[in-house]
Amino acid sequence: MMAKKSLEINPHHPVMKALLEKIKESEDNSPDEASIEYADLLYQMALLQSGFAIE
Amino acid sequence: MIKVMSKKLVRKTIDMIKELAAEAEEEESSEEEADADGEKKEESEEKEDEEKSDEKKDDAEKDKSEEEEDKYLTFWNNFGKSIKLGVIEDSSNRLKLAKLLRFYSTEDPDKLHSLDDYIGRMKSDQDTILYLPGDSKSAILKSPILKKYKQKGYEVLLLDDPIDEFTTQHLTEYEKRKVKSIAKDDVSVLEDSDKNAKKKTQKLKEMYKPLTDWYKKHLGKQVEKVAISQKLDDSPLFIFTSQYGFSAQMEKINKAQAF
Repeated sequence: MMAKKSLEINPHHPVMKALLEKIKESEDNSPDEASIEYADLLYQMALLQSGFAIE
Repeated sequence: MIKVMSKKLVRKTIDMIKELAAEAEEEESSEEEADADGEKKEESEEKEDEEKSDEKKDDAEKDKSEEEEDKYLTFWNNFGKSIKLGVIEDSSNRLKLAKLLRFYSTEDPDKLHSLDDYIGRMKSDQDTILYLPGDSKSAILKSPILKKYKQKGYEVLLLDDPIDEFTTQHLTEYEKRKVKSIAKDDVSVLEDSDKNAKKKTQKLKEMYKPLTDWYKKHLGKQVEKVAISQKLDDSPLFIFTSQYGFSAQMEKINKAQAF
């Protein structure tokens, strides 16, 4: 049994603004490696902060 | 016959606990609340096992006489779990027992508060009793979603006991107010209701569509959806759980259980 997670992002946060720009800049809607890694990091951080365990 | 007896015994115990709580209130309101909680627990236990509950009652009474001041507090510390269990299992006495519940809250994290206290402090536009479950009080207080509620002046109950979340889920409603976890995605207390704000949110949603779409695709099955939040202050993102699904805490508890 897993919890149904819904990720909510803060539109006023500079990091999210920067990520959005990166995606907009890219041609096929996929940002560069560093941004993907950073997005993963943010997601895992949020998992921990929300009380989940990292898989 | 035994059923009738146990029913009456439970009722009497609850009344006794209530009396105790009332006495304590005269001395100090917070202590009273704790006592009341303990009584409720006793009641539920009595139902399950009359003899057991009687013993508990005796214990509670002992506590009372030993330390008049910390009576309720001592009672709650010793039998709070039983009262919480009572709320879960004893549906007929649930409301009575709920009155005896004591929780920590953002208002004063070092003291225990009753749900009635909480309602008394609620803002006029607030129709929901808010709580946030977690591993420990200090961990809950550090949670990024708590910040905005605090800023706007909403009080949030801090549930640091693993059983608390089950209790509040069974309670669902207290004094006509819904009891909800702020880590679930259906709490709308912070959402602005006027048209301008809604338009703004809509705009933000469109603006961020490339990001939310990409994030969803990237994370795949790990998340149900990716959305724009109005509940965050200075943290970039947070993971909420759906209204009916497991919460983070419950997932943890579930994982720890070996079937």
